[in-house]
Amino acid sequence: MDLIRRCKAGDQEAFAKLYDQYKLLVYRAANLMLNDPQDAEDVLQDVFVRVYRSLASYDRSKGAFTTWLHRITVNTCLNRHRDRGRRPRLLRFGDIDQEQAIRTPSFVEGIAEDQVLRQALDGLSDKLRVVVILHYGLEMSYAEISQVLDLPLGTVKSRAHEALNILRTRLGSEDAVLSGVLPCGEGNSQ
Amino acid sequence: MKCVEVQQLLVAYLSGEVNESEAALIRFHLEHCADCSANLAALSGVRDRLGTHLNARLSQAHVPEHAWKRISAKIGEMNMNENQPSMRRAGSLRAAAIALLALIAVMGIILAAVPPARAAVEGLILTLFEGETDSGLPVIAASEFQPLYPAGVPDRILCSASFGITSPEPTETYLELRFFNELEFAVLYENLEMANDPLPDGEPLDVNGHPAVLFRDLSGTVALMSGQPQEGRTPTQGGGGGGGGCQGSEPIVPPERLDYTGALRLVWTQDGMRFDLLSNLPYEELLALAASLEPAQPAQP
Repeated sequence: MDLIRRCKAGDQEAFAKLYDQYKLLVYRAANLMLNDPQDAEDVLQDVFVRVYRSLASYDRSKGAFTTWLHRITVNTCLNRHRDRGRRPRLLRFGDIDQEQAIRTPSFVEGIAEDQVLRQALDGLSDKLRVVVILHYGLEMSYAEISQVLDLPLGTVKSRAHEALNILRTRLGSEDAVLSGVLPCGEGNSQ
Repeated sequence: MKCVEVQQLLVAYLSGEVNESEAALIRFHLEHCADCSANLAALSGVRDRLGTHLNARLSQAHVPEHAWKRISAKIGEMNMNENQPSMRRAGSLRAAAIALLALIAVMGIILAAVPPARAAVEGLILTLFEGETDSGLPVIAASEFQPLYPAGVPDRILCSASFGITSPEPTETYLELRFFNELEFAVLYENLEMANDPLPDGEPLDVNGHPAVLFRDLSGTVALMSGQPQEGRTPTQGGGGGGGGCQGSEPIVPPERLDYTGALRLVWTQDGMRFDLLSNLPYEELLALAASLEPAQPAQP
């Protein structure tokens, strides 16, 4: 009997295995979407409690388990984000181990690049950011995203197009401001 | 292909999300267009930086060791006082009854264009049974009853819905959802405590991998606004509600009752609940609706 079927039958040990198998998938997606480890952990809990409660209704003929799990994760993240009424928190420089930063100067450049990209991503609307994270972060195809978000394929395509072009514009201007800090890259003459 | 067309496809092209013929046309265009080639290079650079950034964040994300303890404790809390499903539900419903101290009879009407109507019905389920939103409605949160949402309700009957929920005593909690327009309807009844009751005699069928029985060619009157059906068995046991109807995608003033002939009724048990569906929709749509039950999801922004 496969894992999901055993879980549906109420096998607690099987559910623990299911958690082990899929926890990273949920946590990583939540971490990228919410930009906060504590929020990601809370979402991890909410998602698996929700899975436990509603797994019996999961119908594999309607799609892969990971698609169903991603849909719950995305909805839980969006709900949490909306409920708190705030944008995802930016990484603070204080979060970085300063001693390590001093020992490895290149890390500072990495922080600057990290900050620039986090800010650019956070500036996107929820609907665009979700597509960017699922496609460029979790490497889902447009078709998979379409299933997870329950959107037409054309909508996913147009959102990906809009998002990358917005990021191109924003990253271009950020590069200009931070041209003394960033490592060499696109549009950076240093 | 013109520049403007190529520009629209560059992001998808970079991701390998265009078909072969589009890819060939884009490649040919890029060989002869410096502007589009420059755009592609710029977008490619952004994509690479984004990929590097997100990959770095992914590689740094480690699930805390204590996370499972929190989750298993939460699940253990949910499962407290139970050794088997029926005992869990009875215990929870007793708790619900104590918490509520009175008979619950909630009824209402949802009239909206199709996307908001879907969100409203799912929101209703989440509000009443999971307490996830604050609408001022009573919350049956102490109950283990987690009604499912029929995602396959055809749009033409989705924009108007009414519902009735009654919990007259700890052993009887049900939700009845009615979707309709002027001519067609579907009434879905979900009951927690009838799950172990034997199915009635009828034409055997399979719904979502569960045994079901089908009754054909039923006639009668279904109450959409209030009261009980006149003829033909519908699963109404009380409660009531308001109603509406779809005209195109817009809700219209509902009839109080709808006479029907040639209706179908499907009865089955799934997820520890009894489902009873009466509808004059075509057979295929009735089966699709029955197969579409899923947990209600919060509306996306």
